[in-house]
Amino acid sequence: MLSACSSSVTQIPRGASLPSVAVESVDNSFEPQTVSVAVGQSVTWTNTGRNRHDIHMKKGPTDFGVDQDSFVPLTGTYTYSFSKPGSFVYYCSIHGTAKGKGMAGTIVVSK
Amino acid sequence: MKTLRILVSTAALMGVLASCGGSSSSDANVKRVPQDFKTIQEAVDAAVAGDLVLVDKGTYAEAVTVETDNIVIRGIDRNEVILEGNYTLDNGIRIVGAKGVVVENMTARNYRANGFFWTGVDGYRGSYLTAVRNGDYGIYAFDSVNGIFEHSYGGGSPDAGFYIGQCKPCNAIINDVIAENNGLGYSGTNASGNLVIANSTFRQNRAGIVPNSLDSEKLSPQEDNIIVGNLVYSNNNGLTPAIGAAKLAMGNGILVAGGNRNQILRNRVWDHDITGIGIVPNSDKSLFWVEGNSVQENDVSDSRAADLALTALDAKANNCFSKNVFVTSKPADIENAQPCSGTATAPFDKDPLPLADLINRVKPDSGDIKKMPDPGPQTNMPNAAKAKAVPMIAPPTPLDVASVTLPAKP
Repeated sequence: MLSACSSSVTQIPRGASLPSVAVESVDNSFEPQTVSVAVGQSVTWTNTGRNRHDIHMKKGPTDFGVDQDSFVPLTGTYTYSFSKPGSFVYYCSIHGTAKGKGMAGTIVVSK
Repeated sequence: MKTLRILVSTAALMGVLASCGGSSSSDANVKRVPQDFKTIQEAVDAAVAGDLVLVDKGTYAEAVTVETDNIVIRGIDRNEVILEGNYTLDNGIRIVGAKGVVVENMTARNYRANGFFWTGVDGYRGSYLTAVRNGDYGIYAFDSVNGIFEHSYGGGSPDAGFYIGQCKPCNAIINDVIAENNGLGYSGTNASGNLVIANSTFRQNRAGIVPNSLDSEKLSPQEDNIIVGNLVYSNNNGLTPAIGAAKLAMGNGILVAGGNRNQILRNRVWDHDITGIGIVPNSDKSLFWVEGNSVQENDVSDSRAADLALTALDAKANNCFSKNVFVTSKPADIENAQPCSGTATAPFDKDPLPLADLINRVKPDSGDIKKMPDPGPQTNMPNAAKAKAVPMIAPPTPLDVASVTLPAKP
């Protein structure tokens, strides 16, 4: 009977059971600027500023990011779950640069 | 009280500082656009500290980012060197973390965010700039210190024509500018310390000059500005594009919203639907009251609610009014209720400003930014082709506030 059982196991990332980490997008910075999460854990950005902002990454997951028309002032939110470890610099393209100057932050994702 | 200092014109200062290492347009370290580089961005990327990027007449559909210290970007003709945003690009020229960068003698229009924008810098200057119909601010410095905006024009922005935010001390001067057809002519959130706004005109905006405190930027509350010698009139313009705060402030000439220890001196203010000069609290996540503001020697007239107005927590908040020419005030007899010297001889709370009613008034919705007019030709900087290029390598020379007089009506 046991030979009929599947031998594959679905790994659930450690972070999936952890709450989303909050980052506030104010005018013009991300607070806190650096956050650490586990693989599978998400980060939720909220635009509490009065200016338009967006969120982009030059080197990172290709499906990451939100544009300024969606991430509206005072109420816009964006949530992303990180599936791979690494250190990822992100930025607002209006007020920061891909090099991490100006309005930029870092997500550190651990296994 | 500021000690007497000598007013130094920028042109004279440039001549002196030129001997400290600026580039003339005939030097080898001038990068010409389009003669040497097809785009302004290419020239900026090739420039090193001390270089002059000299841009010829033309329209440039570019969003330029500057990350090199101490360069000067100059148009050969303020009215004919045009950065064009086409309502799709975000910033005309933005300087990110690069000190000493000067931008002068050109126009930026129709950008989604800002015409000319410095962020996180020590040393900046914008001179002879025209910014029109840009979606946040026309000419903007954020989290930056030691800077000047002068001889410039900001029009048609829903937030502000000129904005300085989040600095303490700012060490900044706004001098000889025009702001019209904006939500706010000037806005300065949490911009504090050695910030002077002088000799300028704020007209036909929703509100004229609005230093303010908010929680959405760091370094609150706003404090210690000097607003002196300005013409502020007819800021009731319901046709402008306007953010929410500008709609709320509509109809006020000079409005300190939750700021402290600002000096408002020798301004000529007239024709406002609410107040000419108002000192009021501002409510964000925090409630910012007003303390220690001083309103003296202004000429204020034709305000429909009150020429001079104060809403403070109590009389001990030390806001004061003296030697102004005015007719109406709320509270009544404001110069005897809150004098700058001597003892109060009138009640603090007689006939108060009905602040809640005024805030809740229905105001016109934001207008169409694309309908905001061009200003017409603006004054060029002298000798743009040959003048030495001088980066902003030192703090601005202090403005001689004591010598700034009450301006005449135009």
